[in-house]
Amino acid sequence: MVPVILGVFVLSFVLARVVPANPALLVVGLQSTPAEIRAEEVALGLNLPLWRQLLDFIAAALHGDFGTSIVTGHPVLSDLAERLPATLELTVASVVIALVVAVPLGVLSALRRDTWIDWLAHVVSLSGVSMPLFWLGLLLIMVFYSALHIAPAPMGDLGIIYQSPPPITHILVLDALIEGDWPVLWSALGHLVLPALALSTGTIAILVRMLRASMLEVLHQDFIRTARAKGNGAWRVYMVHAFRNALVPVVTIFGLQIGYLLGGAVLVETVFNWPGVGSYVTSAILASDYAPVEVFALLSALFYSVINLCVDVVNAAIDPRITYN
Amino acid sequence: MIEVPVDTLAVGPGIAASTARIWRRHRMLLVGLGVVAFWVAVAVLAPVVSPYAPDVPDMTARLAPPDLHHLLGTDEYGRDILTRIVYGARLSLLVAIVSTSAAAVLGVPLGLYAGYRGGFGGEVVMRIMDILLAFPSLVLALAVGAAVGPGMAGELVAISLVSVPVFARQAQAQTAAIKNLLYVESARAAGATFGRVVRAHILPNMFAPVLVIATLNLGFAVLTGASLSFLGLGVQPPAPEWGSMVSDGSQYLVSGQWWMSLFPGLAIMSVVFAFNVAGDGLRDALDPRARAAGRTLSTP
Repeated sequence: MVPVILGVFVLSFVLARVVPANPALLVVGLQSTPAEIRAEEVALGLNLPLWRQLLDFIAAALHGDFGTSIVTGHPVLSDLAERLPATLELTVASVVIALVVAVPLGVLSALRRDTWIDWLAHVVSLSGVSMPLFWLGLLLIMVFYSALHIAPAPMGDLGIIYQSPPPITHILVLDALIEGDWPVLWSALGHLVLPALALSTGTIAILVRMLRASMLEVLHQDFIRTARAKGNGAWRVYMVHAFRNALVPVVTIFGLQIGYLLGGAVLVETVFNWPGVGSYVTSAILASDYAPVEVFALLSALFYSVINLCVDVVNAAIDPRITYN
Repeated sequence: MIEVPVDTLAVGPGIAASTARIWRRHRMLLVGLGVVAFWVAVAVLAPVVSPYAPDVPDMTARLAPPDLHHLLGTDEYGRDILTRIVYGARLSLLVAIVSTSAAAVLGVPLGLYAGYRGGFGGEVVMRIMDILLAFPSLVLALAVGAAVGPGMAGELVAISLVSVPVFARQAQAQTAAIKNLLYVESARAAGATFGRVVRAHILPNMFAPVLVIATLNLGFAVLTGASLSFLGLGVQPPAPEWGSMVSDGSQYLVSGQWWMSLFPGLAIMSVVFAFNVAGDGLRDALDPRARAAGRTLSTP
């Protein structure tokens, strides 16, 4: 894992520093004199050899210094940290929705193969992976806000007439709950439902597909017949014996889905003006301020690598046959 | 009496019956390929089938809802949505085909080398692929697209780079498995060169799985390209790119002009759906033992 992490830093450095046009020019502006550009290059360390710049980049990153956003004027890391709770809230909500929908659907479609529920699972998983997330978000707005008027305007995570509760966890729904502020909680949940639903579709699609295949495979194995022969009830056979063994590939895929959710959050947050990390990245792109994009990519990759390590640990806990050196 | 399966009889059933059998067996594959063929035809025949020009504004017909003159309505410059979707098919398919081919041309030889020779060089190649895979795919595409800059070139580089490790991993795994098969080993023992083993044994065996991955990757490329354009990277306006058309339309959604976003999105979905279904169908058709559940790639 260490070489991969190192490689992630190198690739991010290449993307952030080497490929774009002269960063000094971006800072001082197009109207500046060559001397000013030269001075800025020295200030940014661009006159140093590349390996030295790479080491400085890694050293600064390890100290939490990822540069400054041209748009907000703040350090990129503090901008991202400020917006992280909203993204976390959205992502966790989407995972909850995905689990609630996908687990029953995936398991049932395997148990009731070739019935309408299996067919439904097939349609859900195929369209879920084919639909552009940003478009699905817009469709939801079109139906539930513009046409039916039951959803709030897609403008952030709270109605404008409400004031955010005092930040304790920085996660709006939790803070409102702790504070016992029901109108704010209701408004926050209302704003959360559609974006979380939009973000959950890809995860639902993959989970249903994996669970179905995984359950079908497990159900045909000898130990299931043995469990039945021992007189276990159907429910116990399915849930204790089959489901648990079907979980290993599902947990692995779920880890991979976290990466998908990070990308999806950029799209969904943009559509719903959600005040999270994703919409920050989009506004940076639109302002041609690409440094935050590269920082976001670097941090996503680090986070994603850690998640996949956790997945291995969880799988070892589920299945004692799995060991890692 | 020996029963002969109907399939093997020289004098087979009529054309209708065998067509029906192929249809039953490969329904999804055929549906997918049919939709793909439809869009390819639309893209090729764009100037013939589209009623208007894709980028000529008509201020007298701004934001017109779908009617007989403009079947799918018009946008804020009075441009016909149907025409722009038709021309957009050219862009999306071009991006998908070029980036997927580039990824295959880069990834397959890299994986082949790593799988066949292994050693330090092979290890380095696969670790580089791991680094690319350490990034969530859409996030890496965004980062690369931003680094190269908005435009078709950035989009192509981004999608190709994100797709390379998928091909490399598949090629590496296939090669490592095939080269240890007994008949390949005996070919090597008989003096077959590296080039000969690759041409005669490894490439033919690898063709089917790589074709499946390429088909799924075409869908992934269309979806990722549209996502990049939606976010302001990738192909820039006024080009009729589907993702940026959805983005343009999103500003008019709340005021009731739903057609601007709805139809380009449907186009994206139908193409991606078709590639996904065709890829799944191909996998089942080419390798009946393959589990129906594999990795579907088209999720950015």
